[in-house]
Amino acid sequence: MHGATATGGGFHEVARREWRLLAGSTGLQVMHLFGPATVLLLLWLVFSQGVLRDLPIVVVDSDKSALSRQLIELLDAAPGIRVDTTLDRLADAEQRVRRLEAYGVVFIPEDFQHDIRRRLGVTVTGFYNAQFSSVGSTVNRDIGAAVRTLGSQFEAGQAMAGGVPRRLVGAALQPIASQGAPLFNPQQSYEVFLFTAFVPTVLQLFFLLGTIWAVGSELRNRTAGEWLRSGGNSIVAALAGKLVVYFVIYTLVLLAATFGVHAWMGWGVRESGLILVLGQLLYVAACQGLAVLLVSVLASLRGALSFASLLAGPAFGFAGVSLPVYTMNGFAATLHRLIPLSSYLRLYAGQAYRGADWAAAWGDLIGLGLFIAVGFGAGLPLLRRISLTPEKWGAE
Amino acid sequence: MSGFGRAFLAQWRLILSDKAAVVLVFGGFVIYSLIFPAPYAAEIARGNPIAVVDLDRSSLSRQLIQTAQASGAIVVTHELHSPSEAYALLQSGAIRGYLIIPENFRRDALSGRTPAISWGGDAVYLTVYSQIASAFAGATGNLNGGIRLKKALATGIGVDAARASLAPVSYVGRPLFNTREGIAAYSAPAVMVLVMQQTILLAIGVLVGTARERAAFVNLPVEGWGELLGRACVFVMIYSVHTLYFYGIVNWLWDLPTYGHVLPALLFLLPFFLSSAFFGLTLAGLFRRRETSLVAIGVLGMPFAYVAGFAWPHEALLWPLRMASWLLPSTAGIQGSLQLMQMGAGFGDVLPRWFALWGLVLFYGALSFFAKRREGFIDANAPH
Repeated sequence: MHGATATGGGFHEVARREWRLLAGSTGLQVMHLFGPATVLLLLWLVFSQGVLRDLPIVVVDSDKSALSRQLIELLDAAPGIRVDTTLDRLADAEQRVRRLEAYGVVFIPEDFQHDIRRRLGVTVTGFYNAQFSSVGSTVNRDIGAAVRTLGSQFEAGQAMAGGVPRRLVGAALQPIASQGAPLFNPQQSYEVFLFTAFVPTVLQLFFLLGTIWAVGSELRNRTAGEWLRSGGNSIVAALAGKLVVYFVIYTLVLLAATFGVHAWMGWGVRESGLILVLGQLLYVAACQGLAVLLVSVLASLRGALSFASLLAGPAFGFAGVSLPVYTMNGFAATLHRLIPLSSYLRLYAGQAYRGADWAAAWGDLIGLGLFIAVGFGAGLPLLRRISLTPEKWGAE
Repeated sequence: MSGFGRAFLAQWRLILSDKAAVVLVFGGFVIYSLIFPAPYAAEIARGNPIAVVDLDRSSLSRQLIQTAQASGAIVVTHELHSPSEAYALLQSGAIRGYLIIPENFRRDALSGRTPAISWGGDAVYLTVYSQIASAFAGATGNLNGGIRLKKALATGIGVDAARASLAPVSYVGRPLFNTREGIAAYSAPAVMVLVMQQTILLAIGVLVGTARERAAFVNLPVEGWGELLGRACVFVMIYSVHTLYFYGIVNWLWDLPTYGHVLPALLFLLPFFLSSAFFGLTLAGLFRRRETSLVAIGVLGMPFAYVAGFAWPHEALLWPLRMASWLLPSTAGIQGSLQLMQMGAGFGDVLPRWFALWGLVLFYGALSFFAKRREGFIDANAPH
């Protein structure tokens, strides 16, 4: 086992040693393969509905007229909401929202029908729970649409009764027409917005922790000497042989998760799958480079694991999915640049959804390359020194 | 001294003697409370870059663009000549949306020929898209209102009558609780409760892992109900202080709206801390090495967050997931603390979730009691 020489044989020897370690430990298999697969599957199940439907709302109908009943029917027919109950007092309705039994309240004022018919200017108020964000925006959007539909149904009826020809009704109501398109995600699905961005987010955490574990446990278990010897006393061969095993596994997980979701949902990948795959290879290597840098600078398994969790745990926000980087302050924008996820997600959204070309991709490909260059470039010499210094092993 | 008191002191000593545990229970929450909300400090996505293709270049088209920009949601960064240029720019990611105003826009609008403006937005990022959509929809509605008002006035009716004729019924949407609809205000109060649970789990995982590695169970008092409660109460004490820090200092620091009092919140979170500690003692039986829990509990944070119901409603979860989510203290803990502190609910409104947490105290208390008994038995027979 220690018979490897410094010439070439080291890399294969280390890779075989790593494979034996992995094959012999269920715990390691969970960490590198089954764990990420399970977490992704769980998150996919969470978001499998994609768009929100039939969220319960309460209507306070102070008018109880034909028009108010028509509005309630329109509300109930809206895809995102359903009318759970109608109550008489606004306070009771708000209570139901505070108890999380309903997500919104629609208030129909007294004389609703009378004032609409006399064109006195009637306002319907929708209160929605903005503390539960995806819920609040869906409820608000659907209540607004239902009220506007009622208004235009009423006006169209009036206009035609008043002798305006049907084809001119639209023009009288809306001098300017507006056609808006939610591009690249026409359903406005949260599965696109959140879940597909979760895939690399979750995997970044696994890639970082897994790589740190693979390298750091050699220090912790005081096996760094044996590891280096099996690499023919070359730190490059020792690290490359070790990491190549996980590089292959991680790349397969990322490929399978990404293309699996796209195939399942029938989305396809818009442009060149080639750029995306190249980006994925670089992303895995970038995470590994960052992990090597962390574990060699901190020279401690636990320290590096904790630091990586702190960096990758809130990474979703820093990557600029909910709020883009141009809205961030200096601190947040700096952290945005210090995580590989930011570059990868920008590349992924461009390639997978928007059909962006090479010109739009190279900046992010270089960004990922920088993590690889800096991570390994600075990490290798440090790691070499540590692995030659037994006093530094076993540090907790 | 009672078993409770002995275990309470022993647990304190155990935490203070372990650097990692100290960092986790004291530092972890504080560091996270300062980092997590940082990318959301702007609260909503403003200043989104868009391109304009103005083929009319009239006073009305300029008015439309200015009105859309006035909301602050968008900034015109590119003025282009063709829709295809705008689409290509959107594809490349340089802009987030575009607006196309057709030729003869003003003339057609005033002569009743209904010109159609068209706009597009990158809907992959829904928070950005909704800002762009409301900026364009608002500007169009504004212009339509102005034109109709002018026409109505031209027929000789008064201003009030003309204004009322605009829309027979209008809609006003009022956001409750998180009135600015900020992303930090919605996510931080929930996520920080999850961070409390996760750091309790991590600290216990590291402590038990260390004890196992060093076969140091002998330092812990023999476990009975009193001892178990004594250990958990250390976490109640520490995390009650974190709660005061969070609702007092962090909410002020990040300007998160708060509508509740901290005392009911502490009372509500009491069974949350207890059940998290017992949950931790139950889980700790699964980890042989102290670092294992760092990995396992770290990666479960995201699924735990997304079954808790605040980011994605329980109504949209498959029922087995919804059921299983109630086994996590974080689900009831997050929902109830949001109700009390963010939504201004009374304690009566959170009683169902409070009782659910006490149920978890009993459930995980019993599980960790029996897990400990077995471990104590193994330990008594283990060679030292």
